[in-house]
Amino acid sequence: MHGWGISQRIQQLSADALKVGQGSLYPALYRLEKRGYVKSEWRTTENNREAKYYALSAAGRRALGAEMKDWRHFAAAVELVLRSEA
Amino acid sequence: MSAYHRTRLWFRAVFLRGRQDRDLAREIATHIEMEREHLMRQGIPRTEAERLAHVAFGGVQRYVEAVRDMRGARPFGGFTQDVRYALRYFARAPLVSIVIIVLLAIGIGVNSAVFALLDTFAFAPPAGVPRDPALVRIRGTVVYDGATRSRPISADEVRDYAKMNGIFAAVAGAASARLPIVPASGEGETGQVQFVTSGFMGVLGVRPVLGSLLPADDDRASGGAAAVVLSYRFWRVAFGASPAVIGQPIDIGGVSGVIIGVATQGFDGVGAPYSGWTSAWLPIWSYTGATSTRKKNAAHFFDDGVLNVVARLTPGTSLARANAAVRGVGSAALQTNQRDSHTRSTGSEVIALRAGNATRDVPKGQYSAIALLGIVTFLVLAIICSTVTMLIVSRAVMRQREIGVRLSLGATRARLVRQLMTESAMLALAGGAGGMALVAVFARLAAMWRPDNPITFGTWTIGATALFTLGTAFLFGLSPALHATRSSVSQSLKESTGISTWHTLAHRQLIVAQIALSQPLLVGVAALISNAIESRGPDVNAAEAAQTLVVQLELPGGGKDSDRVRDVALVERIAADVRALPAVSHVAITEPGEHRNKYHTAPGEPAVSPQSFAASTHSVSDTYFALHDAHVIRGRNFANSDVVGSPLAVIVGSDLATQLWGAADPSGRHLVNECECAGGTYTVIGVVDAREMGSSTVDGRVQVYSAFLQEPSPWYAALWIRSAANPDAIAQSVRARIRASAPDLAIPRIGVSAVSAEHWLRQRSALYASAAGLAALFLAAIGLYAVVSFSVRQRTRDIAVRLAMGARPAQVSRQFLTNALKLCAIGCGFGLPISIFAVRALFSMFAAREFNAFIVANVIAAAVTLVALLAAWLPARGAARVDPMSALRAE
Repeated sequence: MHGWGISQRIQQLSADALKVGQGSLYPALYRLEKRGYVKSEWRTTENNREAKYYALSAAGRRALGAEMKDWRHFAAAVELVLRSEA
Repeated sequence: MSAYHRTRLWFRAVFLRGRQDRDLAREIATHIEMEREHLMRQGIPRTEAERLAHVAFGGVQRYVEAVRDMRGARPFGGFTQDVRYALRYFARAPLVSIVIIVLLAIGIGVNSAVFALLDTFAFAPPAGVPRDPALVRIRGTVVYDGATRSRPISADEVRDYAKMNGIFAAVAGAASARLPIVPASGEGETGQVQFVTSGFMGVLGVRPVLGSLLPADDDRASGGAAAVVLSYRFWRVAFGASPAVIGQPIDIGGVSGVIIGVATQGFDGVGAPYSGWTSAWLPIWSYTGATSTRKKNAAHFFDDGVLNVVARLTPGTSLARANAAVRGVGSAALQTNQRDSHTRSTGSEVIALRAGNATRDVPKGQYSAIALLGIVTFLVLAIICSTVTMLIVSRAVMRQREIGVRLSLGATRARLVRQLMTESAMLALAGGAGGMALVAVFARLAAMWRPDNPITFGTWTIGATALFTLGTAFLFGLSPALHATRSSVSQSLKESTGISTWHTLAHRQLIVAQIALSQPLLVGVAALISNAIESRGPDVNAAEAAQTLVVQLELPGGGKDSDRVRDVALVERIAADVRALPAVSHVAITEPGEHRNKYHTAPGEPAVSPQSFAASTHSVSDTYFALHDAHVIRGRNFANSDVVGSPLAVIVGSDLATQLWGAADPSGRHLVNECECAGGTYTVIGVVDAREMGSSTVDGRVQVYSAFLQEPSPWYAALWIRSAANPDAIAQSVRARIRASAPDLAIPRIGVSAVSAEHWLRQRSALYASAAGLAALFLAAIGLYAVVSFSVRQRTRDIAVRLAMGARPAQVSRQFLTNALKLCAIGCGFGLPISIFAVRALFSMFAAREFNAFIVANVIAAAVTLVALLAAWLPARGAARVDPMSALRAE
């Protein structure tokens, strides 16, 4: 998926709740690439335009798994706290 | 992330930066275009869609920068920025930067020059000879009157050494002579040639640039002609470097030879006793043939031994083992050495072959002077490095606030360290460039000083010094850079007290070291001053001697009195002819060199101290004293009546006369020369002012002068020629005049007298030591000034508070002065013993008379303290002038 597609996807999936500043996506992508979590390559889009496509690497997939697990722990903990407050 | 992945990314970030930037720009453009199309699909007009797409993306440049930072590795991108920043900083504080650059340049330049001197004299092999630890010189020694001298070695002795297969892989010798060289074509000259034993060049590892070298077996070349190898210089001068020279006939001193090759550039043989270059090498068998035409007794000379011997040690043989082996052969030489009847004992020694000992006579003083130069230079280098360190450290610490501001603006520590290091490196490079320029100047001066044997500036000497000095600047740049950036932003922006206790401590230690080291360096200055106080010290005469040309003449010689009378007449005629030259003011005839003899007063004659004493005997003509501007203060000078056969007369130095006979007139007293070689009893006819002769302190010996006309040397005479002109300038006309008077006479040596050369070197050493001492003092003063002003600046707030609380300005400046005085006291404590030692060592070399080392060292310490206090007083006075209000407000 290319950069613009990613920003659109985040927006759609979060039902417009997460509006990522489009430009700030790129430093994040490059950081992930530097860490080896994503791979990138230039490809042609369906509109016959050259775009840089990003895909998760194996390391990225592993890191994502770990991050998701952490996030769920964290979210569940916050949820527990909030529930007891209520 | 794998190392491979990291390396690939780094490589791309560094080397494919342009491509990555282009990729990113393309990617962002695509992104904005997609967004615009997306908006247009929603019905927004194109221009509005375009605007909205840009707004949605945000500032493109900001993200491009962010991505670049993300990639890391901008080693070259930021470099130009750092350089620009450093240049701006230098322009803002030019004085400190210039001082650092000049100090580094002086350090590198001067040290390279001295290392080159040391290398040339102490370690480098003779020119054209490859460096090889197995190459040695076998030197004959002879001990008499307690002094060890070198002795030429005979051909028989060389053969004995050659038989020591286990010690020497090969042994060869060379004898030098000055002969007319007449090539069949091209221009001839009277030049120095060396007659060498078989394998001489092979032993040394010399290579030909053309043709071949002398064959290992010295059989006669075809048709009885001697094989001749030309020197590179002569080949160029006489033959225009023509390759057609091989096979051409050449006549050398009556020996017909055939040119077979040209030796490598710079090779000048070994053991050449004469100044000037060697022109050709011939096999030893032609020696008698070549020299007999000029001197009937050449064979006698040859048998006596005229060879300088080189050898190659067998692998694994140490110098010590070789020395032990040759001792026996050397001591056996006494029996065969007929001429040295007065010799007490002979020996031989094996020493490493160096350029400095390749010639037969190296002035003794040269080594001590060079060693002194080395020590002095090392001390100056140490002081320069410490001052540079202090300046760099102070500079970095003074910039604490600036660094704090930059840290707070988001600069990374690595970035700041890199920038400070760039500054240090730029200073170091500028200093290095200045140093190389100085080296070039020194190299040119050295070539002017010794045109025929220039001092070589080896790349390793220059490289080593440059590396050392630049390394110092760089390393000491690193420490403050790391330190200055370590503090937190808030700490840097707050008052700067207490940040740099380490630096203050280091500064203090460096100051103490500088004060300690500058004291011994100032001993040279003290020695010069003491000479100036002694109005007629030896240096006065050295200045005169510098104007003196010494020409050595080879006399026809002979054992009979009639031969001597004939030789004396010849020399006197030549002296008169030379005296007639326009620029020449004095000409004296002497025997070359001096004899060291033991004398005692005649038994039965009253004397203050009748014991025997050692003296240097100079065989001179009556004009010798006038040439030195000296006067015979008692008795008479030598006269025409003091000739061969008349009672032997001597003139003594006034110091010796006082020592032996007190205030009494010594005329008519007798001295007995204990050497069997001399005539026995001499009558004292006069006393010459020893101070005016200036020679009594040359090596601490008293002087006795005998009449040359009475006891002429059988083989050699020397003319001392004093002129208003530079001796080198009149050398040519003197040579031409001698040629005209006596065409057959050989002139083995012409040049400034050895004594004056040694004096010159000592004088220069004292001058250099003085300059170095003053420079060291100046550097120490700069250092102290920097330290005190740094500490004043660091404590401005304290000072302001104290002043505001009612302290008097004088109290404040006194506090800083007291601190500086403490440092001086510690420095002097360390420096005093070193400088007492230096006074003892140096004053014996340079000074006109003895001084109490302790007093001299204390005077020097007092002078250093005075200068240091002055350096501290200037900034301390500034401390007292701090305006409490403005200082506190600024904080």
